[in-house]
Amino acid sequence: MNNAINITEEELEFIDRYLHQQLSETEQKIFDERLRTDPLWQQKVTEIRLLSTGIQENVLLEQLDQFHSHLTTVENKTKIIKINPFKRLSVAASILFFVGILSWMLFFRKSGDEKLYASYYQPDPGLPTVMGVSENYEFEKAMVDYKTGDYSKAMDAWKALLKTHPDNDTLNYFIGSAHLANDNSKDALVFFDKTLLVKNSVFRQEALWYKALALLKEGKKEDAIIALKAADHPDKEILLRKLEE
Amino acid sequence: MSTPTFSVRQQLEAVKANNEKVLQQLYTANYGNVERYVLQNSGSVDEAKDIFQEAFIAAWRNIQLDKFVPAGENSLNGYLFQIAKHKWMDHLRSTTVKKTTTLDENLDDAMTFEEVSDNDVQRIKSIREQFKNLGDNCRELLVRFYYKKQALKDIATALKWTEATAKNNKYRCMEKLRTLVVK
Repeated sequence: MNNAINITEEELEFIDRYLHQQLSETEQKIFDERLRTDPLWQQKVTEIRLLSTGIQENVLLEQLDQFHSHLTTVENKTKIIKINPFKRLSVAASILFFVGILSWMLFFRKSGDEKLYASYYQPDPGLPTVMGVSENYEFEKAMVDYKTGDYSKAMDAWKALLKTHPDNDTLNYFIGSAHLANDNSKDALVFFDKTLLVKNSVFRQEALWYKALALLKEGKKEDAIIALKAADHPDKEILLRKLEE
Repeated sequence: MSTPTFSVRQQLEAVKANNEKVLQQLYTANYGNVERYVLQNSGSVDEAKDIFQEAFIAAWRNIQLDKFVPAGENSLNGYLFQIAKHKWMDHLRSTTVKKTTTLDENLDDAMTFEEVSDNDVQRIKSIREQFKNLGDNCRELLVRFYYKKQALKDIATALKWTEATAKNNKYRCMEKLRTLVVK
């Protein structure tokens, strides 16, 4: 890296705001013109861009392993157990029988709303954990449990933190998410509503989406539509159409 | 269970913003295809994971640095897969394994990638390494600002600083990182 280039604090601010797309129209024009005509400025922008990329890649690399362990967890849950060949036929017949019963229970006995819920629900994948960097070790430790599917353990840890931070939207949102992932839509709703009490919460849109799904699971279709209309989610329109059919 | 669908434009914006859901979806949606391809072409599961993660980082980096121009709605998945295939081909063509493997040659060899220069890739790798040598406060501040895209005002609140201190600390941490990288 060319450290001989002197970059002032003001220049760093200007470049950062450019990289974060926060420049006004006039500032953007000045920036672009400078980028076009000033080779030293080009070098400075490239330098900050590469630094930003390197910093981000560090976190992303950690995340990729988490994504992968999630894949592995799913694979492990569905791993086929090797069985004695003589028992295969009877085991296969039993499996078919139970699969049939389960399908009947899960599909034919479900209401239309529950089927829609099952089609659109997938657990919130959680937040990136930057263990060792964050001040909030307990929270992030529980996030790792959440991401590996141990929702109850994560919930217990977060509920303990909630005692001292009862209005914290992050805690309320993820406790709600953990309840929903544990198939407990009723309790999930309590925590999503608490999240929504926080004005301008970064979890507002997520909370509205999952609230709508939880209401759907509870069979409260009209309330679900109201929550869904306020939400901003890629599947919002298609789900709304299906609900209003 | 259905997977939420995003337009390629939304996907790119979300990737640039490091939206974890979209990144995870991209990972989950594409890993299987790459693993199958690597396994069918003399590779192991571990190699598939390594090559896919390398490809994922390369694709993410090219998106961040505006080197990827989408050609269609499914182009991001295709792009990721093509990068992984090319990386695996490069691996197979390396001298150590060349003699013992057969290669599926039905690849889109005509496909070219505008990738980041080798020099810049090396610099990014060096930054990655040196970032680990920064202090906890600097790492947390820079991760919050550059990866999580948090506003300085919010970072200042979280770390119990004034906004001016957060701004000054960011500058000092970046200078420290630059010094470490040049060593």
